[in-house]
Amino acid sequence: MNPNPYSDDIAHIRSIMEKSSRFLSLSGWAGILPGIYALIGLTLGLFMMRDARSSPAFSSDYSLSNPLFVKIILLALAVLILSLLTSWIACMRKARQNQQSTWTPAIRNMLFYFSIPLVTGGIILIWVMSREYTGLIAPVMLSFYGLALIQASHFTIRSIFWLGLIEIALAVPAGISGFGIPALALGFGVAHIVYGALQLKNVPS
Amino acid sequence: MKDWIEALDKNFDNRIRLGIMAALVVNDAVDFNTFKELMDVTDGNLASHLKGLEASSYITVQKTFIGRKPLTRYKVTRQGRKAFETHLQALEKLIKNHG
Repeated sequence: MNPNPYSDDIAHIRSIMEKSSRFLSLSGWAGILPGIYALIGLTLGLFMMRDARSSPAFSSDYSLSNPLFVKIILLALAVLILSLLTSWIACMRKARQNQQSTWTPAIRNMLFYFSIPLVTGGIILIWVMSREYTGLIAPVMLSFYGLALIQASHFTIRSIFWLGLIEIALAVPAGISGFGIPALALGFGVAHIVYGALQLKNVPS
Repeated sequence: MKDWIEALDKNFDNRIRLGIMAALVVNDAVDFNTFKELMDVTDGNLASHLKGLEASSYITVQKTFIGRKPLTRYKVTRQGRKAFETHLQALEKLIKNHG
């Protein structure tokens, strides 16, 4: 088939549509580093719990009057904030390298639709914890985070969809007693690191 | 074959115009600077093509201010969307016939 101007036109149209509706500068580091933070955070959390259990003042009370509970919540929030900041910096750096704008309708849409399930999950998590349904913490975190990724996948690299599906699938075993923390380690730690590494391999930045 | 060439819209005989329409059919509104980033085009050239499409009532212009900075946003009209779809169909038919 000899190259004709019409197929060039179509290719041009496709590329503009893609560029203008999706944020494609998702950096692999935005997966790897938060994955590592999550694993470190979980390990620290386990150590804190072990230390607390061996002390005579241990209480398994899930209220803000229990210092262990407060410490673990603060640790989780620190991991979340650090992860969001790192991902943001990594993506913005990559966008600048690709000479793409760092504040486009695609990025705004991606963040907006990503945050809706995340905030919803956060609200439910507060209720779950205040009623001491601790066994539901891991499945709620994994499933709502998975939904957030699936929403975001409409506005960025499509393969994020599969990462979202994996997170939701992990919410199934996460509800079984004793499987919560391993599921969190797999979903937030290992899955992110593997996905990020694959991303780096596909598109060297 | 002849018919499909005639079906091509003269308004879209230019890459920049195709690019403008492509960005507008997948976004609610697009501002001037975003077009520039998408297509690597000079201000004057882009402005003249936007004016041309506006004159054909394919797009509408919306001028607003963010603080004191003027922001010009463009939207596709229903007529423009239809014309672009027809043009795309004609392009596809032509490619098929070329084999």
